[in-house]
Amino acid sequence: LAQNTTIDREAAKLDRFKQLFDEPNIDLDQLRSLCWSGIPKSVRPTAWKILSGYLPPSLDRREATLERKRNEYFGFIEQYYDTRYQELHAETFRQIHIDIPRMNPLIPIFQQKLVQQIFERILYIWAIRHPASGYVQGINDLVTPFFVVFLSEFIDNDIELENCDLRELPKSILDIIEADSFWCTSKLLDGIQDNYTFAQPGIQMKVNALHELIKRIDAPLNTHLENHCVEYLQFSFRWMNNLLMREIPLRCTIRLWDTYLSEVNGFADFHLYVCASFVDYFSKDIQREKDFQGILMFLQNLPTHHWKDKDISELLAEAFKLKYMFADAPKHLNQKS
Amino acid sequence: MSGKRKPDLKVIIMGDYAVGKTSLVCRYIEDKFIKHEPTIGAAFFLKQWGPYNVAVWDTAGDERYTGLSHFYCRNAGAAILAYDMSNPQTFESLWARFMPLLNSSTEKCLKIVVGTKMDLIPPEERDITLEEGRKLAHELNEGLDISKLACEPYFETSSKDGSHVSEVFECIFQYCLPLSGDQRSKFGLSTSTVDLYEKEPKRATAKKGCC
Repeated sequence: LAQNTTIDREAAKLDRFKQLFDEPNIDLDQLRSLCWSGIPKSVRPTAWKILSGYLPPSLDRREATLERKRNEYFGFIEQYYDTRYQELHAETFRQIHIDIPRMNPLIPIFQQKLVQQIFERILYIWAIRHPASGYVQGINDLVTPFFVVFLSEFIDNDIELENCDLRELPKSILDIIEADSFWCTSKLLDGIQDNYTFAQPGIQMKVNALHELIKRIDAPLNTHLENHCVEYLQFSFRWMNNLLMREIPLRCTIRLWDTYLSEVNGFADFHLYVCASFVDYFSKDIQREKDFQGILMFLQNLPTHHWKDKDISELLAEAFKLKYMFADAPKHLNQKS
Repeated sequence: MSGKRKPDLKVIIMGDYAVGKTSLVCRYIEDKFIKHEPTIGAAFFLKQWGPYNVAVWDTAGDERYTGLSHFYCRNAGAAILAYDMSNPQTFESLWARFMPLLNSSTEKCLKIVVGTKMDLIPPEERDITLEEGRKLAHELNEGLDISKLACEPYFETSSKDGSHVSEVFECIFQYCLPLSGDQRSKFGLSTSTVDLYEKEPKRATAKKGCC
């Protein structure tokens, strides 16, 4: 019976999405609150594009916008992609070209040449259009969720997605996935660019803020870390730089992003609260470790392999509480940084 | 051994991106050669050396993270400076980018230069000669008494086939945390090179630092 209720609830949610998408002008607040608790697979690609600010809320402008933006992206390719071997840009391209085949070594789809070339173009175009930061290792990971979600629209059975052969898809479809991934990644990066500019001030600030937050919400944990000379930078740099993507399975990142995209500045501000609830979730385990090396090893290999949407939902609920507690007092967190 | 909250020695690995820093440390610690994602920030590894704990910090090669490297250099007892033998530009980075970094933060830090991917380059196609490698390694250690070092501070390795990988680490550990022949056999470490090491007098205290 319980299962039936869940199925009914999901069907009802899906209906609400479909209704919303058909409205001449989507109420973004309504869409955000609907998406916050997770988006059904079948409507996720469209929902993400709207939440990203890539697709307009107005229904009759959507098709035209897509066409224009996709053409614009392939215009960039035509205009800039040949510059990748010029002296000014060769190093940027070389680094991207070396990094891409090293991504997600355990997911077969990312070993395909075709996929790697798509990622190279997306990242190269983004990098040379954003010289203030350029390409930084880690940014490549951030393309993955968009790519996988937008691809899922064209794959019959999602389970096979990680193994599917992209050569079986027509080029027109691949182009759509590539252009949409480019624009949505760009929108995301616009919100966190200070993570990747010189000296990475955004990350420094967030690592400090995380420290301040933990001091307030879990003093024994903070004391434990300090007593053992563990510094927040040592474990949370990667959390900030890669938005926790290296710490949880890809399916969980996708669920997490449903909520990040639904929050205003989700990838910057709300992410901090998620990191705080994430470390707090493991507080007992960390405090069980009795030396520096044990703590570090644990924090670096957190047991999240088996995590499902449910675990992410719990994490997000905790993060939401923190946001509620501290949002009115942001100065508390910034004071010491 | 118990009751110690911090490792006894901190070793930091630096070098350009994709020269094989993570592969080097994984070959040594896990005796594996697998594909690695680019390291973000730095990754922590732990190695037992006789009665001691050694912290190995494998830093990310991306130039954007250079500021972080300062942080990881603090109190390092030794630094491995890795370059890709099939890419001479990565050798230049060692003095252009990493030498200034080390000079400013760690005077008494032992520096070991390590060429990687030896299996990829036939000897006749090498750009960097053995002499050049050794010369840089000695320059890096100027001001440090390395007469007690049982080996040249320069190695050429292949993480793929394992050549000379453990020698790098054991040379460093033996210098920073000397073990006697007895201790080595007690902890199941090879004693084959022990003759070399026996030349040096035992030193009582190990370097300590917060890792």
